[in-house]
Amino acid sequence: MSDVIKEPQPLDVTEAHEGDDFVLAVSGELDPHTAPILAQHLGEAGEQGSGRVILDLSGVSFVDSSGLRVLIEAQQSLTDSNREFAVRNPSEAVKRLLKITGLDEHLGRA
Amino acid sequence: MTAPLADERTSLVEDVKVELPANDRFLRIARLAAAGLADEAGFDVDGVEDLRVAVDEAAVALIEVASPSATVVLQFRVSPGRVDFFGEVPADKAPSLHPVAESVLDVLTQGMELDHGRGCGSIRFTVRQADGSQVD
Repeated sequence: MSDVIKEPQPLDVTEAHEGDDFVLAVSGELDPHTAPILAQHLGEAGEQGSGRVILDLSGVSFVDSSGLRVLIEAQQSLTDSNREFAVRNPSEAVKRLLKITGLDEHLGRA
Repeated sequence: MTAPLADERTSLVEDVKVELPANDRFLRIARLAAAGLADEAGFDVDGVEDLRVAVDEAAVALIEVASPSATVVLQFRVSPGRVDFFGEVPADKAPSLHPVAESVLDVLTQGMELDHGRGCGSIRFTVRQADGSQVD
């Protein structure tokens, strides 16, 4: 019975290298329950290589301020390490919240 | 012949209450309720998203101040083109908002109030259909 009803994966993060860049593709919902998962991936990405860390947000169906804070902290941390952070393909939900908060003008784009 | 669903949306004021454990695992349930009630109020796609985000931010703020094992109570007054929200949880202080959350709620809601009384922290606001159309 427990095999029949399974909770959907709240957040999925896949990693790939594109030349020197490290790309994280995120799908699912970004809230205080799942944001730490992304933060951990970004922290690990920051310790690998020297190219850009690119976050593909095309698969994010929901984001709140906790998710945005992870993006802000990643950009700050990577900038401090002389790395570049960029967001790619933000979904409509992400674009909307970035615009509301004005972060669309501060986050790098890839 | 069955009437279209749109005709079954609320034309009067209706009150809905949702109770959840004060744990961020249940935020998805709060968002699901908000989306359904926004649709019930006749909100368009952007309006539904506005209420979904606003209720999520409110629930997060309430969970952060909640007493151990507390229950978050989310109350919605749904009327055409408008949803009035009131959420509360047993707590020692009023909920507070991170500046990013505050900037989101400032845009998406009207009449936001954070309060503490009778042993509960609370937050209230109104989301109107017209609010969402301002964000493009």
